[in-house]
Amino acid sequence: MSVLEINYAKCKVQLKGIDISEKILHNIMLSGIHGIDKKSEELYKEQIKELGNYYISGIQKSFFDFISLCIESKNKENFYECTRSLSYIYALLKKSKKYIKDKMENKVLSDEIKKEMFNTSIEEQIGYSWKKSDLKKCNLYRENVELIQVAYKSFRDISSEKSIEEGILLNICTGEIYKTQGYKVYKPKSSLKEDMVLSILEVDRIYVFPGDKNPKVKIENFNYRRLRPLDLDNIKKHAKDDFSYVVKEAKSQIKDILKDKNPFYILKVFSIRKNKNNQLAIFDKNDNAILLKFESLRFLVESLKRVQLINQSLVCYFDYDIEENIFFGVPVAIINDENIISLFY
Amino acid sequence: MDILLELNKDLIKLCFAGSTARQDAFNIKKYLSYINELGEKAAIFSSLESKLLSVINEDTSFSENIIESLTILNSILKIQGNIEEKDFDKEIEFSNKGSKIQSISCVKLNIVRDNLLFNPNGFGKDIIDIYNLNMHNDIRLYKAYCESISDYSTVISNYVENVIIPSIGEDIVPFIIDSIDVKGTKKDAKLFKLLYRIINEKIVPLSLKIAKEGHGILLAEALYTLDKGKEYEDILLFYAKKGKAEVRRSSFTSLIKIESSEGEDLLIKGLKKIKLGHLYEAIGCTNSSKIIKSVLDEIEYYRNNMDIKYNAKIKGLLEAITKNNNKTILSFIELIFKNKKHYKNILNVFTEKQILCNLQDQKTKEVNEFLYNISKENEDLIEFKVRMIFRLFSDNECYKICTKLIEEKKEIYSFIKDSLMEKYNFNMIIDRRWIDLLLDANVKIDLEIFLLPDDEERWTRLLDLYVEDIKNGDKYFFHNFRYTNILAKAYKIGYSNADKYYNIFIEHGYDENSLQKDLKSFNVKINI
Repeated sequence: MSVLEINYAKCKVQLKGIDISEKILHNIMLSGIHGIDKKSEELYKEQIKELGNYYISGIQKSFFDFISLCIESKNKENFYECTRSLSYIYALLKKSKKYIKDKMENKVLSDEIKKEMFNTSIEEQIGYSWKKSDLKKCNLYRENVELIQVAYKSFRDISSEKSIEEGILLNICTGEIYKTQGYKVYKPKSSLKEDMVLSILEVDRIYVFPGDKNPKVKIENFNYRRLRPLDLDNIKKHAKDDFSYVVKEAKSQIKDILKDKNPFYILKVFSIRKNKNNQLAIFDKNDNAILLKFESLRFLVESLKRVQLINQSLVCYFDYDIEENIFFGVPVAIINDENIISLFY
Repeated sequence: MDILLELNKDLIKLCFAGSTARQDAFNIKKYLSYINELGEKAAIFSSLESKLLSVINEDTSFSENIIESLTILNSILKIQGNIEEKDFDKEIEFSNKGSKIQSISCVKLNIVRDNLLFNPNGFGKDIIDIYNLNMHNDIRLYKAYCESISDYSTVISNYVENVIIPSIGEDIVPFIIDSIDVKGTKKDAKLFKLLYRIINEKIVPLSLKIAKEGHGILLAEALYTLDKGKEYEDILLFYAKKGKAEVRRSSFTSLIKIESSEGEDLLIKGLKKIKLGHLYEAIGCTNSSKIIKSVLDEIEYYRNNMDIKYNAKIKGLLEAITKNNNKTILSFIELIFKNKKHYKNILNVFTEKQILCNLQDQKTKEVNEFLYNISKENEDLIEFKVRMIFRLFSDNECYKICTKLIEEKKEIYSFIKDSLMEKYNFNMIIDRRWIDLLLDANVKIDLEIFLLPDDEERWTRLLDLYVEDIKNGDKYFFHNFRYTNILAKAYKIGYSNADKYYNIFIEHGYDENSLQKDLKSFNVKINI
């Protein structure tokens, strides 16, 4: 069954599932985070497992994540992420209920529903896995695309304990930044040189999943080719040189709890300076700043030559730190005239 | 903004406690006037205020109101989290040289880094790959290289220690220094040794820091580096007197190298003790006639008063002095060999062969001639004689002497092979007569290292010798890689009859599956 056809029976089941979810959430909130201990954890998990029968696997996963976060938070005695997760579930249930009800009120998909469906991750957040055929029908694909993977990370999924791999891909022609999640973009085979070297992927077709600024993509059939100076020039053309606009846009995304909390941007670095606490910030031509926080490799910035960073581009993702109450960028790659230096792998 | 962060904390507390904290909600009241003021500037604060009022006043939906208040507050905080641009007033200092950065894909970087940090017992294939492609010298991996050095011996740790870091050189120095814990142990000692190999005497400030704060094997390594002048004599004397065995060993060695007279006296005094393992290394490198005389006197003394409890001491002293390149010592050894009966007790503890084995490592002309003269008339020492012939005579003379010895029915083939290995250092450019001589004598192990890839005739002869062993039911047949190793090498150099020998091996009982599997482990693919 395609997502593009309204299946009333399925929507009804989903709404029933959402009702149960609301009850679970209500019980959790009544007892508070402190009420989740080893005993109640099992009880909640049993109830959450039941949600698997209502086509709402995304909502179900957000509950599992919350329970795991609660246990982890209690060890760390830091409940910010935990309450954030609770707010996320609350907002998701509210939005999902409205979205599904709106869907059921129409015989065909209304423009408003289509807008939600194609411009946000709501379907996936509820639990639908987009199929290539859906994406093709909705024209959510691009052909003959040239991509480069600028960052890569593997991390542990909090509830499933499985290792998740995330790649950050940059579209050379458009400057769009995509994410691939759940699997490696391309698996390095043995010791082939093209797997080792930072290469351009010439992709026949990419499928773009509905989402926020950096949507998920699936790539189909690709070849490698060497990175050329012209590619670097092309990428740098897409770097944003007005940080006030970038910050505004990024903040408006991260303030919405249902949107991706770490949007990626390519930024043009006009200058880079530090304060007395040795924190670094990049500046645009109008002296608007973005504070930088490094995952690691901070030392690398000062080991570069000036020409390798100034007037070059930096790929960053944005984040917010509640403890210090600061909004900051985390550099993941430097793109200069010579090369792409990945800082995030 | 601090007030909003406080409010956030209080809301999280309420969320943590759940509805049982209903009565604590009045705490929120204190924020209302502040939020109300802000509400006049931005509507979002009014929404927050109304939600907070619901938290305080409404009995129903208490928890839901808290969550909604938290969501609104977090949106506000995220929008407002800014930095003070004016505080960033210092330009950063860039490097003039720039660092080494390779075009490695981030996936590969991730795999290599994970191998270095989290898979210490792995085979490090990816690390070897990037080295072979000359892509290992990348500043992003320096820290991981240093952290991969481990206390114990692993393929990865050894490879990084012996191949990767030495090939990077000075660029990695700050990272090594950063990784060394001055109070650390074996791993830090390894890193320290690596650092010393790269920066030599520039290491002294770090050595002095370790001398102050360090201990154990790291301290011992640091003391070895204080051997360039007398300014550190006091530190060395201090540890020579009271450190642990390894610390005292390195202190004495450095004291002897800087020719400290106080150190020499201390060493001589120590010779009287039974356990003196910490002195052997210093004795092995001393030039002091005073010390050498004392050591020889000590040996002489115990020759006459031999007691089993002195065995280890005498053995250690002889082992140490035979590593020392000194004329007096050579004369003393000559004396022992001439009066074997007289030195019977000593030769029981440390045999003639052991003495010569130690001596031959010195490889000086004097020692070579001494060894040749001492072994030429003694059948038991023929292995030393052959080795010295290779060291002292030209190739032609050497061949003549060796063939004469063979004619005299002397079993010297394996000594010839070992001497060839020493002299030519695995170089294939040697006189082909030696190979024929060894093949005729059925000497085959390791012989392939001297065979030229296109020397098909000799490869055939060598493989035939292995086939003979298989036919004769060699006991190592299925238990080691001897046969697969030689066949794999034949395949790798492109020997044209490799397939034929593959079949012959199977014909004579080698299991095909295990042969294929074994060859695969040598990276040889068979297309039969």
